Amino acid sequence: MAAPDLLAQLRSVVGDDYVIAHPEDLLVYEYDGSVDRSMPRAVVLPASTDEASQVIALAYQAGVPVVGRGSGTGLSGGAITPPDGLQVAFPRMARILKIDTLNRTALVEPGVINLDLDNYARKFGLRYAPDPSSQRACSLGGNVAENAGGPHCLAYGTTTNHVIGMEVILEDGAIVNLGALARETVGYDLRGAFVGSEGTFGIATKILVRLLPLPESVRTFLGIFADIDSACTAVSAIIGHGIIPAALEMIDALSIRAVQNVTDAGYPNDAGAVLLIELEGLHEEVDELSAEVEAALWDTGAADVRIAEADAERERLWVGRKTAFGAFGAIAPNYYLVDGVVPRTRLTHMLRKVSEVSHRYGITIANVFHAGDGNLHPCMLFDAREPGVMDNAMAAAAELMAECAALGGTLSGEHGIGLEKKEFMPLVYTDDDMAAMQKVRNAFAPDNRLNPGKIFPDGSYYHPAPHPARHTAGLYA
Amino acid sequence: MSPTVPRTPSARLSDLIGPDGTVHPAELTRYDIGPFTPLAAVRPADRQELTAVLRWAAQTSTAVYPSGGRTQIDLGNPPAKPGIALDLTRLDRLVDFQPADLTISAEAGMTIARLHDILAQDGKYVPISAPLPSRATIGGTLAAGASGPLRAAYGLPRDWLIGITVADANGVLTNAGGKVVKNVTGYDLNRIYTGSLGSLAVTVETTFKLAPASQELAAVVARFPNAPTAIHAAQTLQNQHYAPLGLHLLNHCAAAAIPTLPPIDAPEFTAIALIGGRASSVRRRLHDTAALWQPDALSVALLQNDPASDLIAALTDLPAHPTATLVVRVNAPPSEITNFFNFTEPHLPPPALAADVAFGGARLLWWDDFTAADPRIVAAALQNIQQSAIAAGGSAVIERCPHPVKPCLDVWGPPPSGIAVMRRLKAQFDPAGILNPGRFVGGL
Repeated sequence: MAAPDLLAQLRSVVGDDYVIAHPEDLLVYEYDGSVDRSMPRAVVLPASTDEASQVIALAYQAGVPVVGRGSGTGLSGGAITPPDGLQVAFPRMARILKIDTLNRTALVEPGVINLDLDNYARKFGLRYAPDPSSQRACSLGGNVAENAGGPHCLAYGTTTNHVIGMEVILEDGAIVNLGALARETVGYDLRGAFVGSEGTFGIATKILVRLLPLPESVRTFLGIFADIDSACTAVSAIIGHGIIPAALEMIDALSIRAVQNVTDAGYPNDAGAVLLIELEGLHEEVDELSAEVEAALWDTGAADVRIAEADAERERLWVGRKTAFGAFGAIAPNYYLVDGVVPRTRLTHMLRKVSEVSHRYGITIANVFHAGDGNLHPCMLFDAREPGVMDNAMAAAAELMAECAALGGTLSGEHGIGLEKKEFMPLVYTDDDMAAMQKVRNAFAPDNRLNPGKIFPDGSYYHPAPHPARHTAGLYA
Repeated sequence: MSPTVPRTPSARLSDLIGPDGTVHPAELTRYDIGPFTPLAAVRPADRQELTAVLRWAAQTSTAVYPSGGRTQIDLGNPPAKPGIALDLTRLDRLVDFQPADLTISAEAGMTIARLHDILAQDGKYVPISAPLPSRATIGGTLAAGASGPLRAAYGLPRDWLIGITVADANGVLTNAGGKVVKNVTGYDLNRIYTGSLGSLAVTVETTFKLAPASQELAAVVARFPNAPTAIHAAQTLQNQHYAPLGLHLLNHCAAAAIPTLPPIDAPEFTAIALIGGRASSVRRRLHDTAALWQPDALSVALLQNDPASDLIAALTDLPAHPTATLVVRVNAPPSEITNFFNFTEPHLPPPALAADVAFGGARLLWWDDFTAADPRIVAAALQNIQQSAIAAGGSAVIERCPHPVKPCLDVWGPPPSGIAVMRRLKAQFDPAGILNPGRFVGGL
């Protein structure tokens, strides 16, 4: 229990205004971008590492679990706080502390918004590569917790490939540095283990990330196909040809129409699927690869191929991709997103399965996803006010995750396991495998006080039926 | 199976794995770790034999010193207790190669050279790199956390390992990661095992994501009059769109250790830009790099194809130079690594220096005879290097040193900030302390 005296102690650390405990004020903190919900006892907004450390130490001493929160855009229930738990959020720790152009790094606080960092870095001819679709809203602290991905992770890797070092707070309030200023360190790679640990190992209060130089040339292709099967064949042809584009995204017919309904991204309304492909590099490389990509698209039956090089044209194509999940709101008020991954050559098979499940369960499913990585995002669209519809969607999602596992794939490529997928972990890992993972958690957090009840199956959920008057799903994927 | 302690370890071990897997006592010294000779050595043929050996070791509380090609066996502190050598080179099977999915799975005892050969037949590449690749194994390379001269562009081995099977301290096989290139399902144990020097578990099988192989390799080799001009040339190149895959600066001693490089005299420096990719881009990079460096360089040479590959191989092998007596790996950010170019330490002769200035790192090498030197004085000098590296935001590892020096220091340097977590991690995975005991950071 978070006793009143704990709240008083917390107020003395961060100030009265920065401990949120009134139920109405807490409403926005009871959910994230997923379908789960639970009301925290209080939310604390520290202004410094020292304050955050004191807050977490006080909670530890009081036996209260702590959950870190970034911007609440997560898609696996990672920021959902157990009843009576404390949430720590970082809107007051949102500064870019340093850009080092010689070493090409940025030192940031956890509340910095992903796109703000990227935009700032571009002033120095650099960029921050991981670009989740929620990048206008999501924070670096949350990106670290979830090992966030994004379209351009195909070529540049997910968040873990870009984090060099961190200052983190452990469950008892201890402040520890992981990694270093150097990219190579001594000892166990605690930095690597921490990224993607979904807030169960600690809470990052400073993050040192790599910045990459901007490319000399960028070219974006829109490959237009009559059906999704031939678009899948094109994906295999491009990868099989030895080309790893900067991004290789697929958008299906339903999503195309949803997007075009909201904004003209230049996708043809009657297409069965489009591929959004981006090439980056030297002019010579981009020219050479462009010819090969274009040939691969025509060879695999593209109805048309459009090429954009000017920034405005390219941005228009990308706006469609990045706003797709918001555009689904015109089809149905709620969505539930699956994040499975399959070996790239099994995409066709998997998408047929998605279609079959959609028909059998009577659920509309849209597909907008990272085809180059084999990372699907089947997005179930429904109205949660209809009785039984949530259970139906969950059952369909379970079938899709089982199929991903059966094809040699996995449950999540970039959203995390959190609450949503934890009961499915046995599809890909044995008890012994999960026991090995828990040994690492026991090393970081021996008392399991940070974000407990996530990742590993234990039969517990915090989500009651979705609130009928409100959209329960997030805006991003 | 009764947990009795056998009279001699090898007698009982041969029962478990058959005589083919047991090393004759006369050959045991092949498994020496410095002055330490193991009680016995075994070479399991498959994972059943491997896990039987580990169960036996757990039951008898016998320490196990895993090894692959033994090319980096010097790395680490001295063994903490008597134990057996576990030779993994017979676990060397190709398990699964899916060129269209860009993934490969192979057992840990496969050599790096064979892995690269298999991939090259399909035009694929994985940037896993270690000195002496025809002997170095995948498992050993990952355990040592070794990386090569192209790491600035490709990243470290941990960035390419997507799945792993290990045998734990009780001989139980567990998996982590998988066979897909993007995966956040559970904790990333791939990264915990990589660079752990076999102190948490024994690697059995690995899965990597792959890259397309470069169509062509090339290099620009330039001679600069001194360190400042070479550093300026390197930093200027780094800021170009045509920046190379790897960028290295060598002083005259280091250049002399690579036979294919033209000799230079102090205070000159050799700058090497390693280039790869599509043929069209390689031409542009070669031309533009040479043009950029020409005005300040004393000479500029272009290498293409085999000579470039040979140079990459020589840079890869340099840290394992057969006659070097002392080798130090310095990790520091690019802006700081250049401070080590003027390295002077009163109790050490001037070293050979090979710096990876794009990634941030350097090797210091000596060929001097230290047998007459006081090991405590040599150790103190090395600890000064470690302190300098820490002050620069990095670390320094003594990869090779004379045997009498080793007990006088921690080759990994002072324990890093997360050492308490690291100690708990070791206790979780290996509570009895039988996996490569004493050899890792802080004596773990």
